[in-house]
Amino acid sequence: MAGTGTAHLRTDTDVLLRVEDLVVDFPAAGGRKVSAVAGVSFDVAEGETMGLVGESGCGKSTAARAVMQLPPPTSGSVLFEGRDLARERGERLRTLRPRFQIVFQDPISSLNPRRRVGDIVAAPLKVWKIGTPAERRAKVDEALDAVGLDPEVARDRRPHEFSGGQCQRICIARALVLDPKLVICDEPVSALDVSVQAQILNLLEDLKARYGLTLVFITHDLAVVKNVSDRVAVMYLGKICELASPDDLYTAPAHPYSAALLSAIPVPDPSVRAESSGLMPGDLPSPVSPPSGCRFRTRCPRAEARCAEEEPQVRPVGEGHYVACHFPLVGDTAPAGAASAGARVVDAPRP
Amino acid sequence: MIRQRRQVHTSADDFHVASSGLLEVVDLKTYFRTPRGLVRAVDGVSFTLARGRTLGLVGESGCGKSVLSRSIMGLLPSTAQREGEITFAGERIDGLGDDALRGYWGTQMAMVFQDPMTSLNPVMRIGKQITESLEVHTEMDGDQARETALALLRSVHIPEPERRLKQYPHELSGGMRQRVVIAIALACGPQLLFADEPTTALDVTVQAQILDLLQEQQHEREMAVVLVSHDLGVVAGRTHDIAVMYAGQIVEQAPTATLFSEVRMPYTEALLRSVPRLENPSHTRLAVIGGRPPVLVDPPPGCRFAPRCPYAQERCRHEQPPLVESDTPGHFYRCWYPVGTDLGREALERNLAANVPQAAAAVTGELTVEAG
Repeated sequence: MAGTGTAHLRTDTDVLLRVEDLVVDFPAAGGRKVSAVAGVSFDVAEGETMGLVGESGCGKSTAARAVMQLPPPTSGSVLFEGRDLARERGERLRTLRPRFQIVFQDPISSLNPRRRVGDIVAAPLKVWKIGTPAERRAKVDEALDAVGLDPEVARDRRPHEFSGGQCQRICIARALVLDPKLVICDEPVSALDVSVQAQILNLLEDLKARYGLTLVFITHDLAVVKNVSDRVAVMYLGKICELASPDDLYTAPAHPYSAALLSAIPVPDPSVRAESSGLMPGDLPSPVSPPSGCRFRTRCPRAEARCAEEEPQVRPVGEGHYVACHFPLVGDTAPAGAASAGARVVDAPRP
Repeated sequence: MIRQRRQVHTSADDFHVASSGLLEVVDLKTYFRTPRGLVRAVDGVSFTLARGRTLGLVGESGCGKSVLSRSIMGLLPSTAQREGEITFAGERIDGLGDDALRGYWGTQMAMVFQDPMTSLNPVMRIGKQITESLEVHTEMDGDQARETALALLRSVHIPEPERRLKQYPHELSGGMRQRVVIAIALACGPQLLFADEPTTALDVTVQAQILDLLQEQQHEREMAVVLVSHDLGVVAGRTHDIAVMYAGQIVEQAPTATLFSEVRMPYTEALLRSVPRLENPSHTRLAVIGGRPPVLVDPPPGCRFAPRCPYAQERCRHEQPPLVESDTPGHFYRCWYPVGTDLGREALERNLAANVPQAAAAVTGELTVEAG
């Protein structure tokens, strides 16, 4: 797919974050540019978990960092609590930052090895000069306790005394200490063992309920994203392919790329025969010179001439289910216009 | 290495026993000397692998799965001590030094590592990296080696192989690099291939392609493969047998289908249940394993999983369970109160009634505060 459009943005719900037409380019040699994120739009309702999933190089982390303004996007708007972060700069942007925090992939490299855990978690409070030292300490203890670490034991230790999973808990405590509204989790469990991964995923669900958080959860693992998300966006080469509720996406993927991704997941059940992804052989095209039309067409088993000429727009194929593809994997694939395609599928009985 | 001082047995008797399997490992122990004491990374592992078969080696970080494969290959640092018998194609190889092992590396057994970027030489062209081992191990001259390298690149489905020969590793994608690493490993026709997390650094669609490729090459060459992975999903569809490792030991081993249908070891069950499953609805609470693996300098006296086990009883904390065979031939496990038996059910019920946190964690996913 790889299409653009804003048909999937909601107007009726309580939207906390609304990203519209986000573009991030990086300069490349010879005056060319790397088109890392090319017109991505999505919105996240208050209290919702939005999953962004895709393979390396699809732009999912770049998109999330552009939301954080780290660095600001090349163009597009990031409406957060009614203000466009992409237009704010300097001190005004800085005063908004406590409201949105990020948790990174590698917990060990995101903690300063020379500082004590208590100071690491207190750092955001110190920067913002919040509370007296005693109040800060109480706040730190509460955050450590919330992530399942004993404050008495953890406070005076340094990161190397903790396992990877515990370090990730410390990173989460640091992100929570300022009472953010939005937390962006960039592959927070990818560096962890499966048994620890389960602990962190359960913890994030608990914290979300306890603090009323809204999460953007980025991962390459489709099973993880299904477990945590209320809505999932599948990305490919800087574009959104498909956006749906996890249960819809996994039972009836409409985009050929989503279907290929799903079929490639190794299932821990020997009776399920591992399938090839069904993709055309070849690699991800270079984002310096992406394919014309649909960016996925070079690897798509369903690609036709139209896909090279015309970029597909995001359109509905069901209730809350959007796809950017000329020939989606639903019913009659003749593209008779977005509205009718959507209507046709909505009429069908849905589980 | 302790073994280097010992005589190598090549008597007819030994040969006969070993010819049933290509690789036979008996009571292998690999310890590392560290400032904190002797780390028992591999502690008494035995298994047999027949020609053309695939063994999946599964476990979490630090369980000894990578050290085990390196111990068999003889690729250990000087701080390591190794004991136990390793028989390859009827020959004892555990006593051999590097010079003698060089005759095995590449031609008899080869290894594919996790990160293809660090296992390729960044300043050497792809072609040279493949032909290097051919020229060392075979009689081929430059032209023959180049032809063979081309054929190898074709067999691992690399497009435009002529052009690739002149490229450097950084010019290839991660999946292509791993294909090159596999081509190098296969160059001299090994009978045994160790694939140590070969797809962990790769994307899921590329992972499927690389696993397909390994399977195809294994089939064509009748190679035995040891597939090391932390992902039960990766090994489930691709192996004949699976060995689950925990804290340096094999805790359960079975034919692949049996392992998944008749889990006996609580650790295997816990691993399977902590993975998010696609067939579950979203926001399903995951079962968790409390605590963390033991420090291998001073492992617990009883069962090594006992401190984290939902089934653990008093006996488990004092007495190490042996590896016993279940009713299904070829299915071994190391547990006093195995999953799926009356003994196990009663043990779990007792623990739940007594509010043992590990048992509660396994059932509800609730975990009480973790010690720092």
